Amino acid sequence: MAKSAYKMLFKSRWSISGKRYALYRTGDHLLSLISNGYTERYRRFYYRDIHALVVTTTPAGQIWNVIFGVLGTALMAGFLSGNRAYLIPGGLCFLALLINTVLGPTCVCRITTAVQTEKLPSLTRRRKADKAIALLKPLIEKVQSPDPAYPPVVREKSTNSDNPDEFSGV
Amino acid sequence: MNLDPEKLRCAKCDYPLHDAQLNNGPQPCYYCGHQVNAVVFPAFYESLEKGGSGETRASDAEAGCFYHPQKRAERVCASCGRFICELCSVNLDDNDICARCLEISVENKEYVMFENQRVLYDSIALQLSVLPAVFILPTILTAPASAYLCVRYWKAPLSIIPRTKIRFILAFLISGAQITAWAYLIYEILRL
Repeated sequence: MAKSAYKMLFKSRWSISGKRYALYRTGDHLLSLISNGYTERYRRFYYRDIHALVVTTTPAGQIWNVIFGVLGTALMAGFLSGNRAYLIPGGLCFLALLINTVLGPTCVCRITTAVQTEKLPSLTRRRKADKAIALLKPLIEKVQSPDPAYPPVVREKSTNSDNPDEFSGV
Repeated sequence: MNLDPEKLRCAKCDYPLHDAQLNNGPQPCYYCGHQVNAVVFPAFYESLEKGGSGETRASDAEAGCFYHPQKRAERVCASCGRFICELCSVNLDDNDICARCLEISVENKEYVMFENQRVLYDSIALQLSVLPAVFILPTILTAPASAYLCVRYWKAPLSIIPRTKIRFILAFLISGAQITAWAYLIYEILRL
């Protein structure tokens, strides 16, 4: 097997529809992979072209927690009232609730370049997205030439009271 | 400076982000209220380089571009040898090539960096050998198909990310076992 230059950032994420989303990095670009099991689609984002990474938390994780919690409680109440058939589905709901809570808050991550803004479907958890940013930030900043205007600094105008000689030509 | 206020938006509600929300850690979105962490890089503040447009020929004595005869030829395509103007020239691996040759390279999959999709023949072969086995009967057709895929695409490039040929091997073994079982069954039926 030829050695690939791509290194996986995190474990792949699988959607309910069976699609696999993953993020890989290499020396000069980031690769977003979407696979349906039969084909793989790639999107490349070169470090020199990346303008911004925007991560926004979403309420999806909390909504799922409420759904799993209510459903699990209802099923467990059914089990406690004597119906044994409710034990396994109720337990599964609480297990899903536990896993969802451990994974942490959900988010949407977008990557922006000069000509496009793309969603990164592999980053749907806030913790993972923060790790990805911490990992990618030095790589991107290393490739992009340091600009004196970065980070943008708002310079306050010196007032004569602070330094009376500054504008007096002395 | 490339500061376009409309460019960076909240990933949840699409509301434009304010300067104070950039590179300042998680900040609430002014519209939806969800936490937004916008990390902006130096390229955002730089203006895009303008591409060359190609100079017009001053006289008939000057060589013209193959694709734009009115433009002055400034380079020679490293692939086809045609004279090309600055507008048609694409620098690839330190070679200047014309757009047509680039197109042919992409079609022929000569450069991995231009590939944006690949078919996973190994996964198809494996699924073709495993999934129909649940119903047994379809394997009389799918097992030979899976074995054919293994042989036909054994040398075809796999995914561009790290991947072994284990799926091909498993698919070939499973489909081989299925073909052998069918052959034995047909032989036994014919013998009776």
